[in-house]
Amino acid sequence: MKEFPLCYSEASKTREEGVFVDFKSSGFLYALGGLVVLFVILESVFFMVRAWKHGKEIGLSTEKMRGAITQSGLFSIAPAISIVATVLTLSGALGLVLPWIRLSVIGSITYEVPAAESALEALGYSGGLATEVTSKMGFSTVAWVMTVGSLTPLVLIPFLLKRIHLSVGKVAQKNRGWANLMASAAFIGLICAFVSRAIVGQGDSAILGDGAGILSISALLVSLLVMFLLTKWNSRKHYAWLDSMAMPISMFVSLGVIMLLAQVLPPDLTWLEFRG
Amino acid sequence: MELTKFDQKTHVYGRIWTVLALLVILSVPTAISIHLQVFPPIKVVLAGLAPVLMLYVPTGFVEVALYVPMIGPGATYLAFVTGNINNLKMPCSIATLSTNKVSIQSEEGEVLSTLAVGASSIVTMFIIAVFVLLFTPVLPYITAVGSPFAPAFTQVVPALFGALMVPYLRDQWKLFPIRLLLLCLLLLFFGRIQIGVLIFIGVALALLSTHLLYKTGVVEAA
Repeated sequence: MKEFPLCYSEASKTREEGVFVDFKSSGFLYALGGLVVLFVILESVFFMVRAWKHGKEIGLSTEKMRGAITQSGLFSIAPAISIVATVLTLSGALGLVLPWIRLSVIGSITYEVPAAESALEALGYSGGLATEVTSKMGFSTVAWVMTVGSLTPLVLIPFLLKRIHLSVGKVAQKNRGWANLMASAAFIGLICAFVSRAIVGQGDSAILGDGAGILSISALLVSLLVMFLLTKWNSRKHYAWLDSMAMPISMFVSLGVIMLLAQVLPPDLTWLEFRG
Repeated sequence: MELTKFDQKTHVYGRIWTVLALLVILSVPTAISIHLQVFPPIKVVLAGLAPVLMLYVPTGFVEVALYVPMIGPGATYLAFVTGNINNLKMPCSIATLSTNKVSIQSEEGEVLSTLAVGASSIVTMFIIAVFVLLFTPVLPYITAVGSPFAPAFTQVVPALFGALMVPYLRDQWKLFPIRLLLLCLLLLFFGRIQIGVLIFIGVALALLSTHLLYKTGVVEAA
């Protein structure tokens, strides 16, 4: 804290003038956020249009491609709202705009919070995200740390992605059946990582409901059960729309049950985390 | 192995967009510093970066190596710019591939995965922007601990992966029990292990054990 007194003297001075809030939510920052969002949308549209055209060339039906887009869009709603919750978590210290920008590019829930905490610690803010960043220097430092720390994959991708794609392609060409099995195995490994965390994972003690408990296991089981029933039902009925809607429906039903459970169970039981 | 013309162009466009993305992303702190007329001392930035880089540089290498074979090049170029890969882009890609019963090694898989990740990116952008710009006053009430919606927000990931498990359980249930058990045991001893590390261990374990099961004839090629 003593090492960077500039942050504090500037903060107190600005606070007295009563203007320190503005720089974290100025029109300039909103415009910056708008540009970042525009860039991401342009890139997404570019790749989607290319993929759609190529899909048509190789004979993929419009229905399948529309289904992929609809399913993915619906599947993204609830996680996107939980990203908004992370924006809120960071907004106490940093205002809304910087967390919004950070979680719109490269950002992830698991990265942005520790990165912001680390930057605040380096600045000497002992209260972490509970402390509002009141100095321009502090705000600027946090912006740099959060941004630069997240760039590793983007720097690596131009050099490595094509090579990895070629190596994987070579292996897949030799034995396609084995390659497909290994692709499934990789997905299952990833799914098992998240499922095991929901069953016995120890959460961040600062975040309520982050660890495994009654709620995480209920969410997992209800979603699994609803998806199983919908798949079973659709194997007889063959509704094309349900192919792409089954997963989002399962997720939303599961989240609805979680909200209901939280209302009917005693709070101690609702928020019980097995690992404390 | 020769890449198709489409794949070759994907890499050319992907690299261009990635470089542009780097410029756009770096322009944010630069613009903030210029606008506020304060550039932080490098010493402070490095002090903040050190613990972050120690964890996220190795994770970055692992993620790039891990995700390309799983979601394909087009989706990877896109997903690494838009972020939230583990909890959003990857599940969307997996869901699309399993719903349509196609492998990512096929051209159909590559197209559908790119469409899924693109759609997810746009919807996510839209939702975050709308909530931040329009619903700021009511947001704290929706996500606050006492709100009836709050418990749901804490359990999005288990709800998402519960549904995702089903097609894989149906087709390859033999690949689940041992891996799940081993990861649960690992978590019992190292409960706070980072999800990025856990994914790496889970995938490595799954690849190794599946290869052994394939060699011994317990599971057959898909």
